[in-house]
Amino acid sequence: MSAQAEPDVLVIGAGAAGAALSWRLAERGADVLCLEEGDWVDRDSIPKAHVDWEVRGRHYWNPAPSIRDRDVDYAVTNLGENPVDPFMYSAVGGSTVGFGAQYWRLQPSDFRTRTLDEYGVDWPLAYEDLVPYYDINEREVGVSGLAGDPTGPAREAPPLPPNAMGAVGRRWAEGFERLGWYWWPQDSAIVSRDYRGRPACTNRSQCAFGCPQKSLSTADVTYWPRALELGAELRVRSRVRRIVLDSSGAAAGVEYYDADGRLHEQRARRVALCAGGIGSPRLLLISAAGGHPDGLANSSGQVGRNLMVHAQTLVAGRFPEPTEAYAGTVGAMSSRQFYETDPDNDFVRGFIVAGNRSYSPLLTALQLRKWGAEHHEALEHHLNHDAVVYLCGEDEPEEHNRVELDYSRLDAFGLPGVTTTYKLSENSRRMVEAAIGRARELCEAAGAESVRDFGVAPGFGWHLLGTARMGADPAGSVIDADHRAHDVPGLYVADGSSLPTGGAVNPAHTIQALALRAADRIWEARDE
Amino acid sequence: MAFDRTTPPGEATLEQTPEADYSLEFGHTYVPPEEVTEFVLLSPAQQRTLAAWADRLVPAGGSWPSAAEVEAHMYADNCAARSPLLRSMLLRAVELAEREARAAAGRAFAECEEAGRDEILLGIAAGDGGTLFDLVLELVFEGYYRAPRVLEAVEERTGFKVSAPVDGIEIEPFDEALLERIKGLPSRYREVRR
Repeated sequence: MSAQAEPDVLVIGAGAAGAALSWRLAERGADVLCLEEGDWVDRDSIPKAHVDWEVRGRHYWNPAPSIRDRDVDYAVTNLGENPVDPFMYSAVGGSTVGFGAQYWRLQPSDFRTRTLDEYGVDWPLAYEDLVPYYDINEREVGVSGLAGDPTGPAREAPPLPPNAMGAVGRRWAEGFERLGWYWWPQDSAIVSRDYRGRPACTNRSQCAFGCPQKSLSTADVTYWPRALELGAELRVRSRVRRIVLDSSGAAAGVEYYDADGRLHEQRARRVALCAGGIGSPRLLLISAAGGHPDGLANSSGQVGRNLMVHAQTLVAGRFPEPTEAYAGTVGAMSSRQFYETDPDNDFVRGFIVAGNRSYSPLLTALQLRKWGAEHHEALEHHLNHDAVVYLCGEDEPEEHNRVELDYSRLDAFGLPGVTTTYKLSENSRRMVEAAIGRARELCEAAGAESVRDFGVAPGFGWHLLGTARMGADPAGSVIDADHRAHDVPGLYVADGSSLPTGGAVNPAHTIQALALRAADRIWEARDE
Repeated sequence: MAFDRTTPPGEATLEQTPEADYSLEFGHTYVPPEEVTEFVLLSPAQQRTLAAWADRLVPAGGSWPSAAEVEAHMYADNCAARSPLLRSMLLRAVELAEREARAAAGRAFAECEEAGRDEILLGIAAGDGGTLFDLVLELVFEGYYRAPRVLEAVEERTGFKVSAPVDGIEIEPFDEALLERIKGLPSRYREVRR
């Protein structure tokens, strides 16, 4: 095992959080080393660089690590009453390489759900603490949107105007207007104009199949190039085996395997874990040691617990006119009309109603599953005539929803995979049922002839949150408000796992804002 | 791994159960269009069976070619050949269709009337062969919806511009005038004291 020079901060994971954190630290002057188990995305392998992008997306680009099953992936097996199917990429850029880029700020109430609604837990920080970092992130990532939404606090204008709305966006706007609901153009991390060397979006649609032209603000094309220019070092194909401690019990570095399977010891003054809502608890649990028999930083027993995936589903309306299903960003228009707790509901907290785009040919055929004489008729009826409403509601942190190690499925280095276990709460079930009803109203108001939904628990694992949560009380949380592990000096966790609650919106923006803030806290504590 | 990826094509282990989650094999079974030039797994007789099956899943109609016309069944063969489990399942599927056809009509599946073939496939889909049916359907659909002739039909029949996701396209920009009503509304979010 080789030992190497000691950076100020060793970052584990080069995804949304690790990229932002590494850049911010490098900008502040820190010596940063990031270890990433995946590799840079081969731009030619991005499905949408090819006509058969739909087929590629189901095979080697599949968002499920157990399906891709490359040597840089580890197995994830999904269990429980309502199993979720995690969306995860091991790559520079992490899961942003195929994300929808709907960029939301949380609301002030999201940080105080226990106090306000006796739901979940309060955060140890407030909305105002994140505002400066939301601002930075919007500039660095290149967010397209519009200030002035009355359903949120006043804010800086995003650096770019809203993305094109197309026929579907206009249709949703008309539907919202007929219903008299609040709505606003969707903020997206997709550049609507040329921005910092990246070209404006050309409405190629289907962002989950990657963006060959780099208009989609994936972390490999936003933060990483600048972090590297500032001197950060990124080692790809580096699988961390465990976090190691020094004799005082402080984090001292990691052991990792390089691409050739050679084991290295890498010392560092600080360790920042940014491996995501599945990867971070996995590594903490794998790193169990003498003083931490149940996993590192796990005296609370909360590592891997409280998995939140949002109460999500989709509703598709079928419209008589074409819906330009082949064009536009994922999100078009969205509404926070039902975001806050309403005493007239039979659930607490709320949800967004987002008017999105539509489905592609193969996906439509597979969804409809019609064969024989009905096949073409069904496809012609729905393809380019459907438009989709995305519903995202606040999920409650519950201990029984969890991530655990799975020694029956080992990775290429003999390390365990994980299982996820998930059950939708009764509050979430009632919330999704109500949300589906609202989406049906929207579809009908927008002119839909028929509407179908995907049920209350379709198992979307797009947002993986809460599994190493922050909190003021070490007995009920893993990290403090500054992202420091309660139990392990020198160890920080900053990614989706840090969120105590998830709000009711896509979390990428908040994850990156937290990572930027964590970087500042790490830097400010460098002499401790 | 549960499956030995080194097993060469044609040596699938038939004892592997059809209940296995075949989607777990998809990460290693992508076949580029230019590599689908000949069958690698199925015999000529089996090819006829699968072609007849594929054409019942996606028959010809109007501008639409049938699945076998665009060799979606050859794609299914090539894709399945890359995984021992998929090989096993595709071979089982073809065998099952043949067995059911012999039992029901005393002839090969490909020689059955269309209605007879549909009845056999409905039986497979609803019975123990349901997973096999699902696999064949998914692979045939994949092969079908990437064929150039089919993509032309998609555009002609549905207006879905197949070149847009690859080449881009202009659409209507956001019209801020649509927000006139919203901008006049009071704020709607919960103020929280720090």
